[in-house]
Amino acid sequence: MDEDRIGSPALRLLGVTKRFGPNTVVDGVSLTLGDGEILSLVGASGCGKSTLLRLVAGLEEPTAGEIAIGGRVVAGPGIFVEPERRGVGFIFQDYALFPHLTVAQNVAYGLRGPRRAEAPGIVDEMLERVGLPGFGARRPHELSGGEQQRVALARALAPRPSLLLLDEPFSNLDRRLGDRVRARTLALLRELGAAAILVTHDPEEAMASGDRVALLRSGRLVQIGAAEDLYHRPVSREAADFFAAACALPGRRVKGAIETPLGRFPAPEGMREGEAASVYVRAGSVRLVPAGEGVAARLLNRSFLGHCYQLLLAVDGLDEPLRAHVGASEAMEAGPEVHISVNPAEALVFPAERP
Amino acid sequence: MTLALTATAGAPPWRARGSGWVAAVALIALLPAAPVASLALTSLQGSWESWPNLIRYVLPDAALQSVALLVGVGVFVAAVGCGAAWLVTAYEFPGRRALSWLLLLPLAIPTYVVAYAYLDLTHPLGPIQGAIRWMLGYHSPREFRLPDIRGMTGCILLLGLVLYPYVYLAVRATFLGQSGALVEAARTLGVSRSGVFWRVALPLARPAVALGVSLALMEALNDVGASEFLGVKTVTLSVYSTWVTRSDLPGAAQIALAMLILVVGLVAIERWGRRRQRFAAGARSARPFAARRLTGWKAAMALALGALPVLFGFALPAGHIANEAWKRLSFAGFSGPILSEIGNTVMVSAAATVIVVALGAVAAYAARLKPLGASKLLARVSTIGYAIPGTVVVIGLLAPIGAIDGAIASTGSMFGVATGLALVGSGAALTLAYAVRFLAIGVGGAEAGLARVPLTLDGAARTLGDGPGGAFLRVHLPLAKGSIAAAALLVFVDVMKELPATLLIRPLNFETLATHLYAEAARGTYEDGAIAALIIVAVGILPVILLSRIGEGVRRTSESSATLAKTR
Repeated sequence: MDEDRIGSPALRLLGVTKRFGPNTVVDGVSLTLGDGEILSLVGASGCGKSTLLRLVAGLEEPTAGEIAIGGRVVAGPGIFVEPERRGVGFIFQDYALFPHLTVAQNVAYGLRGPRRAEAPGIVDEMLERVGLPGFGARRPHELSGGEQQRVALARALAPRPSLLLLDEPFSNLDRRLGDRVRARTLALLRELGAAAILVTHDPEEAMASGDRVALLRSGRLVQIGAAEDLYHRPVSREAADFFAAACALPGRRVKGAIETPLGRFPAPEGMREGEAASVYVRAGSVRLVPAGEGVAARLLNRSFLGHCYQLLLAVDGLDEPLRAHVGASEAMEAGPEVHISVNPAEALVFPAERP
Repeated sequence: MTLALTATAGAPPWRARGSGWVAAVALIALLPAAPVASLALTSLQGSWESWPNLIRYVLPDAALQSVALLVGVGVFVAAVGCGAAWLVTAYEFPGRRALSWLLLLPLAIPTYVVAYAYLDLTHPLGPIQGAIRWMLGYHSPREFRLPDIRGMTGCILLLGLVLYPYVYLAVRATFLGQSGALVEAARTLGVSRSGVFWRVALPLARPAVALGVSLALMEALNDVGASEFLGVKTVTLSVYSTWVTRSDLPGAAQIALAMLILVVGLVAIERWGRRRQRFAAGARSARPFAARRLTGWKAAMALALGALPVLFGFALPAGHIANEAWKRLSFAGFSGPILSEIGNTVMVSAAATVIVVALGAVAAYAARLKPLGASKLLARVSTIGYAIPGTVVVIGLLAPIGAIDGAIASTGSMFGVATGLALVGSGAALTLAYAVRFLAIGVGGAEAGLARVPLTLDGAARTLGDGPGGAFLRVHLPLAKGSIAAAALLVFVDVMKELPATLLIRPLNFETLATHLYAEAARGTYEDGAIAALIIVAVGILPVILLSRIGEGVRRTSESSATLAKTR
């Protein structure tokens, strides 16, 4: 991997596995996080992403595998470094501010050694950085959700951790506020050059936040890479499904291409002639074309989504209606009978799931 | 790899640290387990010839008396407790709010004190019979007297009168937590107002009734004073007298061992109630059901009815004790012995409180640190002590403590030092017995406090550089101190009231308020014990105030009061 050239990566996981009784929650996850890199860890709820974060922090002990932070093995066979000795910052979903302490005492909580003596100055500086100057004397319960999140950020960053772990830190905020707080948080992380893992269940947030995105499913790492790669070149149908809802077209390889009710698509390598396939088509890839071209479809429903219109279309040979996102003028012109086509390059083709 | 090795060399392996907490809990769990194990061993040493005699003559009669007492008290407390709880939650009438906490007051009176008070009150020459004769125009007890309070019926009534609050507390919490929507659904389905009680409220409260009854019966089983004064020969009493009057430790151990069957039964009921209660409480909604407003003579009736348990369970005995104490004080002032008894009582209570609260906090925190390990189980084991009567605890402790004292004495004599009975003589044995018996309060209080601290705070403290101990001191202790302080108060008051354990294992000539009262009552010199009784009742009111304050916040009532009640 590239990061190996830089020296010790901020974090390296090798086959990390966690079992709770018979359940394998994290299953052989390996990944490397470069210095100052921000990784979005995304997956549906219950996929093990929070557990993976807790394993890195030392709040859980892995059943198998190895974890190294800054080149130092903190968990592995016969080794377990307690969380307080890992130098990792953690921001919890509920922020976990200490209710009996003031904001300043919360931020100063993790300062030890020589930095303890400079606590007042550090606290002021951190509160300034997160945009809460003068909030030191308040109590956590007097703050709004967004303010609490920022105090949690200041508290986690005050001891200068080499790695910051954020467990769905924006999920308790409403969409608009969450976006603002996220932008501010990311800017601060970049400024401080801290490596970070941001756990989220929201694919859009994952793609917008991280240098890279890692997709976790049933405890396994499905795919890791740049957001564009995951979106445009998902390695599996689950990955395709996760980042943008798509309609599945049943198909079959006939004469070197996949034949579907919406036309022919290039067959992926390794598929045999006659083998069944699923072709995923996203709503944005469906275009209306003049009559005579493409495939005929019946318009079932038209709804306004803000940035575009969504058409629900019935196509012969498809069990479920097909969704198309189109502009206003196209949507208005569409009659009960339309013709559609899909750019073959934008479709995602996978071998059909064998029962 | 070398980097990794140097990095971890400084940190102790986690297993060693984690097992330190587990080991601590294991030691704590030994406290209640040790007397039970030692009971078994001691009873094996006894002559087996005594068993047939025991089984044929002693046990059946005592067991029958105990079972009759438990059944009677159980029925009484269930009826009074449920009725009182329904009265103050389903109806609204002038005085209801005051009544709802006044109904808790009988908890302040230990069983031996209520027996002591009523024996004096209902004495043929006492105030009640005197007043009745005066009203009816009789002049001497020979012409008219009430049936003697001594006996099984009297014992059931008196124990029930001071123990029903356990049921009242648990059931009221359930009624308050029950959803108004459930009641309204029942009403729209054609259930009458009174039908709601029998068909909705009471079935839902069944686990709470079981919980309350089992707690009340544990207390009844622990009792030695009341049953002795009232002449009911229970199993508890026969354990006590086998040791005290016949000095037959193996014999006492044998009976105590048999008695554990009753204890196991009560614990089973209690656990069932607790588990089911959590289930029932899960379905509560924000809106409790509306109480029905009573007016006029109906309101007066409700108030009078609700006041009956308070009158007989608290006002009458406490008033009598206060009156006697006042007479005594104005006649003779504070006598010397009572001051030293207060000192002794405070000393042993404080020592036991400190130990119990500290051990309880360690056990509860260890169970939180290692929830999947053995700690949770061990923490549970450490709470069984409260179900075991003080008499049984002490009989179980006597053998190991005697052995240790013997060893110390023989070592001492080798060096020419007369140590006497080091553990028993110093009161260490007594403190240990209290710790075993009331450890559950410490564990329960700490658990209740810790339960309110979200687990993410542990993670936050740890990732910010605190070890488990540091996190406990800086986060958990400040947040749980209210619950722990409440537990401390309960332990203090319970130790102060505890009679059987104190009687059995105190140092020679060491008198507490409870033993003083017992001695006076045993001699029949009731008025001399009044001051001690008054102090016990007055201090006993403190935890009742605590309970009633918690009762006002409906939300948390169910769990908190169950914990407090469990622990009482």
